Amino acid sequence: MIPISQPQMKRLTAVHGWSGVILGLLLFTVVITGTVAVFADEIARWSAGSSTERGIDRPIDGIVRDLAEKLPLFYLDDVAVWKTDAGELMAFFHSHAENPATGQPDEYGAMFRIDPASGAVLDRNEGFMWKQPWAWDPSALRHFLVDLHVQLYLPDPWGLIVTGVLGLLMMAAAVTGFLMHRHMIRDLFVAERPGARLVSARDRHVLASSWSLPFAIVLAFTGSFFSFATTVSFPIVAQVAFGGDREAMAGTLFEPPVVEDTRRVRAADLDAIRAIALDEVGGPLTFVSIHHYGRADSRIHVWHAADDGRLGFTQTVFDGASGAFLGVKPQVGNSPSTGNTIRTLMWPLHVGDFAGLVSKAVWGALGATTCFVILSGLRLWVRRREAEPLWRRFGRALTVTSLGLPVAMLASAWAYFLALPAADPFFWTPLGFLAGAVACIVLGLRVATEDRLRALFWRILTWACLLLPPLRLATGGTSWAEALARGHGEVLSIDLLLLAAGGLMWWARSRSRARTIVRDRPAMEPAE
Amino acid sequence: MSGLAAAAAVATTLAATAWLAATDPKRRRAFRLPPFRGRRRPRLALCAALVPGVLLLWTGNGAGFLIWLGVCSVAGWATAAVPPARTARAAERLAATAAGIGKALRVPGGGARSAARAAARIDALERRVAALEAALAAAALGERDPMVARLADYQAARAAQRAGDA
Repeated sequence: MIPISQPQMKRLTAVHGWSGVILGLLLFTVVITGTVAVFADEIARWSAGSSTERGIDRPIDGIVRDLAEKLPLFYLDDVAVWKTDAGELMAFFHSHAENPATGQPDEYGAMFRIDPASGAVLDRNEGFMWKQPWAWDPSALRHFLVDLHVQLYLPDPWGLIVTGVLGLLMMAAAVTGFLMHRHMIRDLFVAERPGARLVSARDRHVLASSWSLPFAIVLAFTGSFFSFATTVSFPIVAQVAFGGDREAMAGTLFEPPVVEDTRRVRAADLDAIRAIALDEVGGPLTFVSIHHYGRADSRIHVWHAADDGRLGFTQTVFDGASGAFLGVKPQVGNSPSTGNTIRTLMWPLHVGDFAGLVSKAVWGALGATTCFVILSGLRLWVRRREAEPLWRRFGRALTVTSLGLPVAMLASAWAYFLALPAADPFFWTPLGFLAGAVACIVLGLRVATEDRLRALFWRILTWACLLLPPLRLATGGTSWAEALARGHGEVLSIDLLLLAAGGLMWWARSRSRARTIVRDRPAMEPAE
Repeated sequence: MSGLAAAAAVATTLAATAWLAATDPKRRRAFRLPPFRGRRRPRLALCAALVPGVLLLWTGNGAGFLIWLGVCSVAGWATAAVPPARTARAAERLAATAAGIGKALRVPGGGARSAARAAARIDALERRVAALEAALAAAALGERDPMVARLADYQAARAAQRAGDA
């Protein structure tokens, strides 16, 4: 226990409470979308109508070589090859140019969507392709949900700055909460006391936050790191150490030193490199990046997903001309370091993507716990001030956000599936979310009592969950029989999860209604 | 193998956590339960809860350690958040379900034998009832069946005995 004086405790309480109240609803938005985004790959496979693993598991050398031969040298500066969640191979031949829309250097080139089995080009697009997600992301739903979590759908770089600040806020709330709560160990097993009293609300918040404290700090820190890395940290490092030259900084931090040699040579066999990479490190290969394709100083980087006890991504480097294995490259710098180890751990610690669905499920549960902590803390704050009309209105806003946000996310999924057969899902998915959110806010303003509002949201959530799988099937999604025949678990799992969630909400609602009827029934008079 | 180690570590920690929760003095006081009477051994239970995680780290199973930490955070909260009365009810239900499953597993051998015995007994009883009905019907027609005669004699003797007692 850390000794804290009375004035210090008052200050800590003020920081803990007000920081939560001012930005708590936004923080809840980021955390709940993050909880869903943990399953981003699974959602992509479920919504895109396929369930293929992303590992590059077929020969790619012939495909890449054929395409490279037909392209001008400008496009061969950098080549990226990966497989989408829909099972299609993507190859992006590009160089660097200033994007007139942003005024920043960007990657310009030709992107090919390829059938990995036949090698046939299904689609070709040209431009600053990372700004055109429809060309490379098979699921607009996944794209939207991840974007909402990462930058709240705000323009660059403001969204990242806001989510970074929210991460810092979460850390501040966790640390002040830890310091404020003097009997954390002694209260570690005290469940919510009965009676729906103020102390019950406090018990609920304290218990959940005590158990989730370590992860709240980890998730907040790693989240802030990712938000601030590109918006604040790298520009500062570039300014301080490289005189503002970001490309020089990227070269030093992320590229092994190579002596420039512009002679054209035959590029190394990518399939032989794939085999060596698997042999050296193992695990599914998710991304191949070729710097200076077909040049004597070419370098090939192969990314291995976390697997078999490895926590983070591993990167192997090859000579792009001879195909010789040059070693495993740290993510930062060119030799192993503590900084690199910490950097490598950031991603798995934030998203839980290191042991398949098991670790993702655990991280999803941790996200749900954090949502509970935020909501229970805000409810406790409102409960203490419910006599004041302003805080009662804040309580209403809390109800609208906590139940309306899941409704809006489901609305985005509905819009995605409805738009899939004929319209642009990248346009309609965010619009569906917006429509759902606006409808929830209107309901929050119009419905008179809190109980009715909750019941209404609950009913909407129930039906939105129950009817989403039939909608997916009706709009041409993979059928259960097809999914079972191909061994694609995600399609069936997410459908069943939605049906189970809807069924559970239905059951919970009917049970609570039955209890309310029994409670509200007038007592029988003796004469009756 | 590393997955099994993580699962074993999680199971050990959760068992220790459940023990600590069930015997926690403040929790019992808050829910007006009598103090725990046995030996609580909180330090030993705490060691049992934490050592599996240390062992996972010691053996270099980083993924297992993170999963252990995550599961224990969520499941520890879930264990502590359930009030003791509900935990007791859940334990009773669990015990009843386990007993039911055990019974169902024992049925195939013993159940078949007892079912055969019951069927044989029912057959014998049905035969005896049919014989008695036939005898009673014959008595009603004035014939003195030996079995009915024995019954009538027995009833007359019992009636005389009761009268004597009175």
